[in-house]
Amino acid sequence: MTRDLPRRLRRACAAVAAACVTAGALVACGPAAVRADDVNALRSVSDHLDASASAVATARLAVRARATGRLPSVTADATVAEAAETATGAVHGIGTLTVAGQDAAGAREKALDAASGAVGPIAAVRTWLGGSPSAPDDVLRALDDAATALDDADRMVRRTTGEVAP
Amino acid sequence: MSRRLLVVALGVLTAIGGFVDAGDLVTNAVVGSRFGLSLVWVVAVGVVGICVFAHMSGKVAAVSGRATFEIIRERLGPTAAGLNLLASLAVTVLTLVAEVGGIALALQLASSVDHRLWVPVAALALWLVLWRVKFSVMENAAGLLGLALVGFAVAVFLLGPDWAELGAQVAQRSAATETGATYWYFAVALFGAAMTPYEVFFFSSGGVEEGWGTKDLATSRLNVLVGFPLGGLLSVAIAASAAVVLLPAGIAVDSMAQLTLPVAQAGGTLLVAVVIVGLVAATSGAAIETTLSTGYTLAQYLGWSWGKFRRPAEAPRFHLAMIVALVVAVGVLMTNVDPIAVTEYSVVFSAVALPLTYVPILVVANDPEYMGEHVNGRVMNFLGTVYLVILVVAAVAAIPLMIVTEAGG
Amino acid sequence: MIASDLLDVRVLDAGGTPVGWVVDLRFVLDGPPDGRLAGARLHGLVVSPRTRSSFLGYERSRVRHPWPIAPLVRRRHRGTFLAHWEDVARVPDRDDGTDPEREPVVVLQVGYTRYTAGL
Repeated sequence: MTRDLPRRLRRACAAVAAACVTAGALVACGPAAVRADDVNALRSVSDHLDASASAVATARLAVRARATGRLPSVTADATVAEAAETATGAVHGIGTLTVAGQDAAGAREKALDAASGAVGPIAAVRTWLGGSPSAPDDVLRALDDAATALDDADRMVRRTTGEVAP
Repeated sequence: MSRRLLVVALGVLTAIGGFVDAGDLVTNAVVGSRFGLSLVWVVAVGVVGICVFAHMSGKVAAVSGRATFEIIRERLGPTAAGLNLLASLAVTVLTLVAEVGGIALALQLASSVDHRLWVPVAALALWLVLWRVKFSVMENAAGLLGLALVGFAVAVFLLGPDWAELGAQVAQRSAATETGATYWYFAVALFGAAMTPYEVFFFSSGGVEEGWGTKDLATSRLNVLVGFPLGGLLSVAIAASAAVVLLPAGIAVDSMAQLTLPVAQAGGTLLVAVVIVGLVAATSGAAIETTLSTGYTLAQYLGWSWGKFRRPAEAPRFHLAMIVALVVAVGVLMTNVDPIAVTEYSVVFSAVALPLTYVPILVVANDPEYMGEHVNGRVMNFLGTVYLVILVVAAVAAIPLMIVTEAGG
Repeated sequence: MIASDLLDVRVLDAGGTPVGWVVDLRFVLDGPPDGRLAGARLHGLVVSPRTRSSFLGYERSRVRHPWPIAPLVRRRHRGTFLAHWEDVARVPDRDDGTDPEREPVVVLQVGYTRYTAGL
């Protein structure tokens, strides 16, 4: 079997494998390696805040659709479950970043608070979905507050990186 | 006569339903929610490309009665064909992982059972279908049920968007909140999703399975030229529904569940149910096609007997290869990797592998010894060469863009 | 001997000057019937002067498409010729290649003829 595979093919296989490993290593190391300084770290914080805000908006749309009877409750639950995963992922992402400067640390702190604060309201949506039908006002208000906090935190992070004027 | 018409209609319908797979679903939704319709032109470029190459490989199958990969091995020799095999097999297995994950995610939407639990069930069901069900039955069933994705187009119309604004998005070349590199990264991803290599191998091997001859050329051409563009329109509808509802809400799609939100807003529970059927059917159909493609490419390269038209006992290694592919897919998904992330990677790596899989088809379609009078004409060769350039550019740009944008960030 | 003992092997003329690599073997089907087909007989070696990479089948026909692959492959392989099997003086030994000093080579006869490789 290996005998009639030409040598060149075997060499080519080895080359392709080596290229894959190299590419894999680059992809794996890439994100960690470039986030060395604070600005990059804060950009990453901002990305996580975006993800968190997206999760909150997803939960809000799901609640609205469910409240008007437009979304089956299993589908709504699956949607919000995924949103909860995204929101906790963002907290994890922000929490494991390190920053050196005082300002950057302050911005990171605020971002972490806002991101953590978004997890609760999203989890509460799943409770609301599972419970007996009731008006979604409280759930929606909590989500709105979370969204506002995320927005403020993001603005502060961007001010710190100099992306938006103070 | 009417029976003939029925066969043609069935072919076109299955081509529409079969065009969209997990890669198209996810990539179009992500792109729609982040870039609006500003990348629709890539879908158009991709659809023309898949039409060109699927038509070529369908023609090779119909004229020679043999699948493309057998001829590639014979014509290009074991080395060049071996590279081709490695590239397409790797990408096809990665695509299979994405499809099985897609089935699981879609089933979760209808059941609230976690998608990780659905993975082995879905794989087992796929294997049973591949083992027992006739080729034409599984093709037509998946394709026709996949048509339920038309629900996305219905949703776009029910949402009653500002058409002028959507039109303006089509003309845009970027989005305010995204960088240029990200834009081009997703352009490559969308191109890879539209032109996924397995589609062409599947199309030509399927032609052999169904016993195409020269007289079926017209049918094949119609399936390709009508079915695939309409399938492309479904892709655009998915992007549009995300652009209308999710983009203004600040939602960047990162799960399959989010695809149902615009549909719910537009058409309510019933339309959501229809779309979920479409999601399950489209990913299942694509999973069947990718599993078969791994068997086809391996068996055709190594000279094993292959095909669903043979009983499993007559093509044991072909069936074994498919089982191994399914086991690999389940194994990868059991590592708790995010199926959506796998899908995003699969379309980009598809783009990388595109030249290796499509160039040999172009070479074979030009060989009069196989093709006789049906050898490629000027127009097909011109299009083929144009796409050759696009394929190489996309393939070369894919990995650097992935690194620069941290896979789309 | 099997085909891969010859493929990819360097070709020298009788004086020891390299003339290229074996890129393909050409057979004719004119032997005594073996089953339903005539038995295959080795007719000659296709020798390419510049490269040992594959001809991708382009030696068999006058196909010029698709551009730019066909012209590029033809350019890489220009000067390719067919050496008849009778013109081959020496083929690689069984233990050639085990010793790094002894690269497996094909040596052609004095005054061998270069036939055109096209079909």
